[in-house]
Order: sequence, then C-alpha cells, then structure tokens
Amino acid sequence: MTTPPNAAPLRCLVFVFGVGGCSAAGQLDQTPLVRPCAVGDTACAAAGLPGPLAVGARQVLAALIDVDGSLAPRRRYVSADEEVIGVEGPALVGKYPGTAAVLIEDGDVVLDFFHVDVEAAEAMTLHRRIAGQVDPSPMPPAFDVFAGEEFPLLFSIWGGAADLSGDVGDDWTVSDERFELLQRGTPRERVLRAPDEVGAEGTVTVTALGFSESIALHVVAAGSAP
Amino acid sequence: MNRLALFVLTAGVGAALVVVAGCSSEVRVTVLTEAPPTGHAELVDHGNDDEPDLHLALSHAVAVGLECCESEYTFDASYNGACRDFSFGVDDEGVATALEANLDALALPGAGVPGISRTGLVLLGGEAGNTVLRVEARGASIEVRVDVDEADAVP
Repeated sequence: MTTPPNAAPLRCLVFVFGVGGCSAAGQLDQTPLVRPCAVGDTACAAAGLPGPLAVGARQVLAALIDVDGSLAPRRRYVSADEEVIGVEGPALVGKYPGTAAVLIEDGDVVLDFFHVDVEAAEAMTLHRRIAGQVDPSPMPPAFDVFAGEEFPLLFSIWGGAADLSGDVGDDWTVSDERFELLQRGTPRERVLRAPDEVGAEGTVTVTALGFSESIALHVVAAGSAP
Repeated sequence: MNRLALFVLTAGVGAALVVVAGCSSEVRVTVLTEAPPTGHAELVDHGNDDEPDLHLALSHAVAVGLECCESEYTFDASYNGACRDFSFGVDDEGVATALEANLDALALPGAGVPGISRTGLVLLGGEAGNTVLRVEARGASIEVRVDVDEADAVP
C-alpha cells in the first residue's frame, strides 16, 4: 500500500499501521466481528472466522459497531459482489470461489468493511474433542468406546489447508439407535452417547456439501483397553 | 518615476508576494486500509509536490478506505485537518463506487480540529476498467485515476 509522499500527515500514517492485520475486526477499526460459538469456547469466540467461507455455507456474523456519538447505530451488510457472497440479514452466504468486500452500512454511510474469501470444499474430516480441545488428527475409521461413554464429535470442511467456515447444512445419522447423537456445542458438533450394552456396534455418518465421513463404533466394557 | 508607475510597481510586487507567500489550499488523499492478499488497493503518486498525479490500482470487489485532509494558508489564518465542505464523485460508477465513510473511531485524542469529524470515503472496485475519482474540499480539489482489475480468480 502506497501513500502519496506529499500527502501523509503523521496522524494519517498512524492509522495505516493501526488497522492492519486484524482479522477479527473491520478495516476501519470500528467493528469487532463475532461468530456463534459454544458456551465457554473462548478460542472460537476470539478467532473470528477460522477460514474462508465455504461455497454453499451460511455464516451468521454479529457486527458489534463501535462508533463515537451513537450507542447502537443501524447496520446492514452489503456485498461488493453478490455472485461471490450473498447477504441474508445477519448472515453471509458463500456462493462462488473468490474474494469480496462486505460493507457494514448505516443508510448510505459505511461504518466499516471487511474482505471475505469464499472457497470450494475439497474434503471433510471427523474429529473428537480431548479435554475440551479439538484433536486436529482425523478420527480413525473404527473406534472403540466404553459402555455408556459420551464424547463430542465434530467435522471440518477443508479447502486446501484452510478449515472452511459456515453452517453447511450437515446431516448426521447413526445405524444403531442404541447410539444416541445429541446436538450440543457448535453447529458442526454432536455428542455421541454409547449404549450400555457391551459388544454393541454402530456406524455414525455425517454428510455435508456432497462429502460423507463415517466411523464404525464398538462398545467395550469400562476398564478394558479401547 | 512618476506616482502612477510607482503605484503599479508596488501593486505588482504585492501581488507577487501574495503568491510566493503561499496563499494556497491543498487537498490530500491517503489510504487507510489494506487490500486482501488476492487483490490490490495501491495508491501511487506519479507527480511531484507541486502537482500530484494520483493513481489508484484497485481490484474488483475490493474496498479501500480513503481519508481526505485539507490545508489552507492565508495571511491571517491557516488550516490543516479534515476536508471541509467535503464532496466526491466517480465519473463511471460501473467501474468504481464511492461511498461516504464514518471515520470517527479512528480519531486520535488531541488530533485534528475540535468539532470537525475526520472525513473519508470508501471506494469499491466494480467492473474492470478506468475512471476518475474527484474529491473536493473548500476551495480545492484533487483527482485520482482509478484502474480496476479483476481480482485473482480462484478456480
């Protein structure tokens, strides 16, 4: 970024450095952006969007406007390219791979803006949480669980090395109804509860954006090595 | 030298002093924001201190925040701050769209002129092409040539 050599009072330059590289705020530095996160998931809350918006995904963003002279101004998202990013009220919708600015406007005045990447999904992986943290390693295709054990499962959608963002309209199924799937945590997360019957077997499958991942589950007695 | 000639000479020298002393006003435009990695928002001055020649390279669907500052020097007053009587326009709104921006949150304590908000605009790249952004303040204006290209395509 270059500024004209004769046109840069010190106070203007300060802002160029001050607003750079803040992924969780608008570029005019007036808008922290927050996505819905599970209660207590502070890492999620602090990270803004973890990656580009997936094509076909919908992401609600709460724009917390901080403007001098107004407690809570009106705000409306406006996409710079509706073919790349659509706007549905508080949500952004990924439509086509690319990059577009999203303006936050109060009437005809721009309060802030940010750029959003949209990328096509290339892969899906299933993960579990260990001690509250997401295990980045994909789950193995087969998995032993203790009788009555509960543990969270979640999936990621990938575009290259980027963990793509957005609600992708996922569908979870389990082959044996004795295994229960509870909708808790983040939108992409389920809590699996294994039955008490040792030896029970089932398969959990999640489908989204044309991708499907499954894990086969086998219930073992508590105290046995899984 | 008769009185008339002396009067003409004195008036001429006085007028020249007015020009040399810098009874002038100037509008400056600076970039406040960063472009995304796949796009451009680069303002370059190909001119000089006396005659700026501003070119802004901007990508399609990329927005850039621009601040307008104005300086004016007269015999009895000087001003250096936000653009007064701020207005702007783009010749071809299909190529770029200029929107009023609220910059109040960027104001530094003690900076600028009390009671006068900072002035700026957001320029949005449209279809690929060339146009001119015209920024005006009280008694002065500046042109920025805007070249919009397609953002890097992602297959």
